[in-house]
Formats: sequence, structure tokens, C-alpha cells
Amino acid sequence: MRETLPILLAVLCAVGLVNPLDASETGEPSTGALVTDSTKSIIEVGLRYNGDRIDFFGTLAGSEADALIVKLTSPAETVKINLKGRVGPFWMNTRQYQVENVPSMYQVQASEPLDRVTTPELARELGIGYDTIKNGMKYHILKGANEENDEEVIFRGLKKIKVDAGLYAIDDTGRIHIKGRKLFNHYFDFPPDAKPGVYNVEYFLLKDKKLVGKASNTIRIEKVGLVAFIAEAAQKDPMLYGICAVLIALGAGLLVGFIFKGAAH
Amino acid sequence: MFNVYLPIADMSINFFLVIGIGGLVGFLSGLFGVGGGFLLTPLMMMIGIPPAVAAASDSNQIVASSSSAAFGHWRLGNVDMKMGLIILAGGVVGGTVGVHLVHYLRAMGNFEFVMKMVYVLMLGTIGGSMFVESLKAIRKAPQTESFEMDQGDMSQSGLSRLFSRLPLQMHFTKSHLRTSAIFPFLIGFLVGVLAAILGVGGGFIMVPAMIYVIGMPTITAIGTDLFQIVMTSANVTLQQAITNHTVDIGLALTLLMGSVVGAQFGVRASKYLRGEQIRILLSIIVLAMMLKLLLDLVLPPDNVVSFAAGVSGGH
Repeated sequence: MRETLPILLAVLCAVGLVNPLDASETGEPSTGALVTDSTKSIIEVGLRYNGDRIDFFGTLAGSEADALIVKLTSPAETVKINLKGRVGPFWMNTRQYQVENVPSMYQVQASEPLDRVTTPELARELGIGYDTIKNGMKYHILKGANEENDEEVIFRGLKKIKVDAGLYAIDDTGRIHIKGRKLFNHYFDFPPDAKPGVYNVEYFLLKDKKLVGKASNTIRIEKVGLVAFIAEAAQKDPMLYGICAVLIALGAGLLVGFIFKGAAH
Repeated sequence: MFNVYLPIADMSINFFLVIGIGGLVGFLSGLFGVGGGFLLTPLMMMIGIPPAVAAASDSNQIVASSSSAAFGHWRLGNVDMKMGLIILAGGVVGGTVGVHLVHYLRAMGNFEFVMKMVYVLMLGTIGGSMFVESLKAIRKAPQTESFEMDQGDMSQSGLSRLFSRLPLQMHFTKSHLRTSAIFPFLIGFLVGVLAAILGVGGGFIMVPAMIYVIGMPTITAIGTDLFQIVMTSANVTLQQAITNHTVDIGLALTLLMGSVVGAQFGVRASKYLRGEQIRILLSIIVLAMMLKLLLDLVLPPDNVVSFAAGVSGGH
């Protein structure tokens, strides 16, 4: 897919505008058209799914921007979190919280170091940085007695789970390549843990620490084929699914026994 | 990398790793003549499968791996149907209670803790006693095969005399005995609960109980045990699918493929080892797993935060 990028870029430039979502449409200030596209917009989760990579590219034509920031987010969800504590010699879950506004995935890439091209206020406004996630979360205790530092502990633990799974990342060390101040390309790795759903990719063009252009793209992850069929059957018709699971196991067991007749028992 | 996506566990996993675990447990069960369910669930948890999915899919896998042997014993007339049905009645009640217990514990957030704790106690008891017994056997009689599950003097133990005085006395033609239906029902119940929480078949409890406590002939005990394992595991699989949505049929079938092949090699390897050598080896494996699970419970965790069950955040 990477070989096709230069061709796609050339076509993009030649045509001028493909799928434009420039700032004028979103009502944001703009000094030039920001045009973006990706090598695909749907990730299919089938039996062989092990994460995926999508290349994004576009043109900055006409803008005098000095930096580009890209933010990938999934809609915020409400999750239940268990917190372990010590009970005698054992570690077990002692508190449970409901936490609102947790993005399942959150990745930021920037063409320049973030602190050099944004101000804390602008970063907050654009939702750039882990602090913006942290400040948006709402915590409600469900079980157990809350302890003083719980919210901080939950955020740190949650972030670790997400970072380890490749779902959360902030990378401003030049993952976005800009050619001749006109074309850019970069990619996002969607890890295997990226859940089915709609993902938003937002582009922010910056000049002198001010927003000068904006665009967005969406990526959809969906289960397909056998994976979709099994997952749906297990949820929607669990009785039938359970009966089938038992019958298939019985059939497979008897078949295997027949094949290895005499040897196994 | 040959990864497969497990639709219920919602994770991508190396196909050969799952086949390998199935193969290893199959090998051990062929070598030691045990079901292996009690090794499979902890191993699956170790490779990152959520505990509830591991246990439920293991039950599903047990249905497959025991069905052929159960069918074989049934054809040979080794299944005491009357006894089997009483144990099964206990197993179905116990399994259903167990599945709801899993549901409740998951909602409370402590299913994993309870499961690991029960495993530690069970593996510790089995592994410990087996280790001591086989060590004694190795010291005492190095040349003789001492582990024969015969009825011997234990069948007329105090317990079986006690059962003869309990109500609900029945005659079991196939097993040539008359005893109370209460104990078979209770042992079925206990194994049913364990099947749901741990994803085990329960043969390691059932067979000794049937031989030594109830006093059944060994071959009838094994045949009847396999019959009830298939039925109890089928019930647990169905209940887990309905209540907890945790049965991953893909995972179960992949494990089956590995275990069938592994078992063939295990059976062959068993010919090169003496009974007590095999048992001391198994007891060391069992104790090592017990230790690993115990350490999980007492060492400070890497992360005190985890997603709770039954929400969009994960299992």
C-alpha cells in the first residue's frame, strides 16, 4: 500500500480537492485548504485480524502553517473499573468505580514537538494531551469505600493499560512527514485491541501557536464474516449459540475419536 | 505470525500458541491419564485469555474431548446409567448454581480472585498428596507398579458403611451395590459447581469418590464418570453461554485440535515411565502451577486497575 502513496498524492494534487473538509466547512479560521484522505476508511475484523495500519496523506496547499497535529479518537465511553487493594496477605478488588468519558483509543501525532507549536490553552481547546482526557473523566464509586488518591490511581492505571495495548500514544517526534510545505503523510497503527466502532481523525494546522486550519476524517472498525456472526449469535441468541457450541463440540469430539480410533483409549 | 481473532474473548492470539497449549495438556492427559481441564484453564489465563472466557471455553472443550471416550465406554456397557443420572442431577443443579455464582462474582469484581483461590487450594491438595504418595512409593517399592485403582479394603470404609444407613437407598445393578442416592447427588453437585467456576471436568474428584467412597468397580466408575463429565460440561457450557456470554467455540475447537494430537504422544510416552515416576512428575507440574497462581494473589500487581466485567470496557 505504501508504494501507491506517491501516486495517490500526485492524483490528489492534480485534481486539487478530494473529499475536502476544509476549515470553512467546520467554521474554524483558515488560511488555506487542508485536504486529507486515507488508504482505506474501514478496518475489517475477521478471523485473521491482528491490528491494522492505515496511511493518511493530504495537502497543505496554500497554507503558511508551520506545524500539523493529528488526533485520533474514538467516542468516549463509560467503563467500570476495579481497583485492587490489600486484604491480609492477598491482593483483591476492593473498590469499583464507574468512569465516564474514557476514549477507547486516543493517539496524537505532530510534525513538531507539541510544546514548541502550541500553548497550554490551545492544547486544552483542541483536546491535545493526556491532561485533557484526565480532566474530562467523571468518577462514581459503585462498591467499597473511596480512598483519597483513587482518581489519580485510576487514571494512571487506565493510561498504562491503554498505552501497553497500543491504544493511547502521543508522538511528536516527526511521525508526520511534510514535503515542501505542501504534502504530508503519516500512518496510524490500529492495535488488535482497537474495538469495533467509529474513529475520528482530526487535523489541526498551526502557525505561530495559533490554529489556522482544520479537517477531519473518519475510520470505521467493524467485525465481519465468521467473527461478526459468532459474536452476534453469542449476544443475540445465547441459548441457540450454547446449544450449537455443545453439539459442535460433541460432533467434533466423536469425529476425532473415530479418526484416532483405538489409539486414544 | 499466524494470529486468529477470537470473537468472544475479543482478542487476537497466536494460533500455534493455543494449539501448543492444547497439545501440551493433551500430552499430559495422555501421559498421566487425567482429564487435564484443571491444567488448561490456568494456562489459558497465563496467555491473557480472560478467566471467565477461559473457564467457559474449557468446559466446551471438555465436551468435545470426553465425548468419544464416553461413547466408547457406554457401548462397552461400562456406564452405570442409574448412578450416572443421579450424579448428573447433582451436576446439573451444581453447574447451574456455579454459573450464577460466576455471574455474581464477576459483577462483584472478584471472580478472578475466588477462581484462583479455589485453584490454589485444589491444586495444592491434589499436588501435595500425590507428591507425598508417589515419593513414598518410589522409596518403598522401586520395581513394582503400586498405583492400581482397585477396590481393595477401602471400598468397605467407614464412609460406605455410613451411606448404607442413610435414606434414599437404591440398588445399582451395574455397580453391584446398594447405597444411598444422597452422596452421589452431593458429589455431583460439588463437581458441577467446580466445573462452572474452574472449567474442569472433575474426574480427579469423581473417580476416587466413586471407587473409594461409594464403592463402585473401577471400570464402571471411569465409564460413569466420563458420561457425567460430558453431560455436566455440556450443561455448564450452555449455562455459561446464556448467563455470561463467555463460551468461545473457536477457542474450544482450536484447543481440541491440539489436545487430540498431544494425547496420542502422551499415551506413547507413558509406556517409557513407571507409574510413580509419572505421578511425581504430574505432582510437580501441579504444584508449580499452584505456586504461580498463589504468587499472583500475594505479590503486588503490576497495575491495581483493571476493567470490570460486563461493560464496554472489556471482560
